[in-house]
Amino acid sequence: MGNTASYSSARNIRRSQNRIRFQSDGSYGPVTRTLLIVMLIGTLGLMYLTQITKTSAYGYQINGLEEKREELLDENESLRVETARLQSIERVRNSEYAQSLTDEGEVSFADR
Amino acid sequence: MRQIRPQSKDHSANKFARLNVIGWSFCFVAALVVARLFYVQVIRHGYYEQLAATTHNKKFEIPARRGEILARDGNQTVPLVLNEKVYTIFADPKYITNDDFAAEKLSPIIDISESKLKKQLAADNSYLVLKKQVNSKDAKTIDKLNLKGVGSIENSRRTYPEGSLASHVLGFVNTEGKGQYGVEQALNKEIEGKAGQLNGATDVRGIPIATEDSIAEPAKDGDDLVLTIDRSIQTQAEFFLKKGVKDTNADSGSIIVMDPNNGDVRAMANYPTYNPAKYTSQKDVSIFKNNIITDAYEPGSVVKVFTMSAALDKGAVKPSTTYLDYSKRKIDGYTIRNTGPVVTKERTMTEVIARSANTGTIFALEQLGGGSINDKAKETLYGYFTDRFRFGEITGIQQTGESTGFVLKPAGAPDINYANMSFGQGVSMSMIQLTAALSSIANEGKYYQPNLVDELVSQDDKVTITEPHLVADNIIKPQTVTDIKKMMARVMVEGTGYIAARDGYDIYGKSGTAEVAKPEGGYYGDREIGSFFGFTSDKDPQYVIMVRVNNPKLSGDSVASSAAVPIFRDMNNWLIDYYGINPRK
Repeated sequence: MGNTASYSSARNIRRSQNRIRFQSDGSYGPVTRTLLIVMLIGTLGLMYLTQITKTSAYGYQINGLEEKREELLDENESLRVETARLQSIERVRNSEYAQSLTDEGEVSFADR
Repeated sequence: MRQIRPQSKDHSANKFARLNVIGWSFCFVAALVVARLFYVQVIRHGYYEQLAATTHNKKFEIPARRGEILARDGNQTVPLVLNEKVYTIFADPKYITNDDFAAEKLSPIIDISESKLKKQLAADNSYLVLKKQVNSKDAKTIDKLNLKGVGSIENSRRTYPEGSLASHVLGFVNTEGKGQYGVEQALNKEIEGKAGQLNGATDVRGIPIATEDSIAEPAKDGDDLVLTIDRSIQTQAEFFLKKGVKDTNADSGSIIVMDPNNGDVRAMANYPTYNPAKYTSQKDVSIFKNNIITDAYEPGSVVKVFTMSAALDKGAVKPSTTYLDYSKRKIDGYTIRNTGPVVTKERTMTEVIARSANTGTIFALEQLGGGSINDKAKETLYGYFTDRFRFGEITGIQQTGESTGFVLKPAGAPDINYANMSFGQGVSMSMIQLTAALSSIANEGKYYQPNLVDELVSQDDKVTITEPHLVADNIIKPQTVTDIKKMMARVMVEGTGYIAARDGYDIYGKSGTAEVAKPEGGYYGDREIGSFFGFTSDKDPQYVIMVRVNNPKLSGDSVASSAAVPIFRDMNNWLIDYYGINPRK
């Protein structure tokens, strides 16, 4: 229960003087306890929410990084395709350099 | 003086009573909350869990990457088929507030006129595809415009850096992502991979967020395929084939180059061809077929090589064995003639091959039966054709729609049919069968299964190498190989192959001209197929070439095989230089 007022023993009472002392008996009343529990739950809830929010924020961060990774991989793929196209035989054959080459004519082999 | 009066007992009791009421009220409310929470979280747990799951959790399919297809170029690999991300640009006109602005911005990127776009956007549609197959650069540009009501969907498509090169070997991937024709279909299971799945919690925008409950089954990418095709040889083969078909005004043609030492195909081409990236523009689907595999035909005189090999192997004839050739034979009331001038002459078996005498292979067939076309002769020839040279069954090469061809069984078969068979009529064989059989002569009796796949490379870089599959060894005796090669060498001197001869080189070949059989029986009078196959080098030849030309329009008395020989010659001369084959000393 809450704090209660109690009178000290009769021999300590002087005339016209109140001898009142508030003394705690070390226990809490129902309201305090309820409030404490509510506060405790609230604090724990807040802590939980903070962690969840942080996790979600990291989730977005990871998502963003993954998107960036995907973009770079896409770019890499596109460059690979472009490289392959540029190195294709048809393109090399039609290149200005190849056009300027002369025919090899008849090939003869030296003895090995 | 201020006096403190002690509180009365009643007043104190009232105060405690009020506090009790408040306290119990709190407790009651707390109990209600707890009870409600208990109801929601324990009793209705399943219901709300499911509701939450359907609201926030979504299943995402993680597409598997389809394996790439590569070819050899010397010791290197070069890509023939790659994957490329493309986008479908769509619009929802209901959400577009300013059609003119959207059309103005989109028009130069997707290459559609502004007026046409405006018209499209003004339509009362909820979903409108503006353009398909847009590259990722343009799709990103559109994305950055941030136009409300305009979006893109990502797709993947096959791209072919070498254009139409080896299109018949490759095939293509249809709009449903399935391989069609070629290795794309034959090895679809290995190439396509397996899609994965992500069960993820999402935010209000549907974006997956990382939680410990996310269950991911990773996608298994398809294997990359390294073909035995050599890019340089394939390119030249296609070049010479196209030139040869055009020079002779032929309808079509085919060429194959095979390594006889392991059955690996180095080049395989048909003309006309197509670009697999634009397969939808083809009106005639028959162009997709790889005729070398699917089309069994009456090959004509190239079959004489196998008939003569059987007779030599059985000891029924020798290269020097002679017969009297009247240029014609009458069997079962039918007259069979040789091509060329009518003569009466004693001929050796070598001349039979060199001059391609039909009467000579009939003679060889008769010798298999002890002097006549009897059951023994038929059974022996059939045995060699089917058990040794493996005609009449598929080779098992990694292509679809392979034809078995047809070899008439000996039981009850008329003599005339077997007489015709001896020089390549009344039987049907595919080019892949003929090339594999000739390879077994080139490599001195080993029959290898034709092969198009060199390696399969999995996503974790595990390489599976295709080992040569020796189907049968010693299918003919070494002496038979020596004899038949000598006969084939004569073809290049005094026979139809003379224009493909090259000084200093041992070249072995045989031509074939065949009439085209009608489906209802008989032959077309105005259609012919010309074939030529052969190889170079006495010791360890590195390649076997076979060429086929369909219905060439030649002048004078030229036979159809004359159209195939120049293609063989060009390819063979190029390969001699490519492989650096020394002339004999």
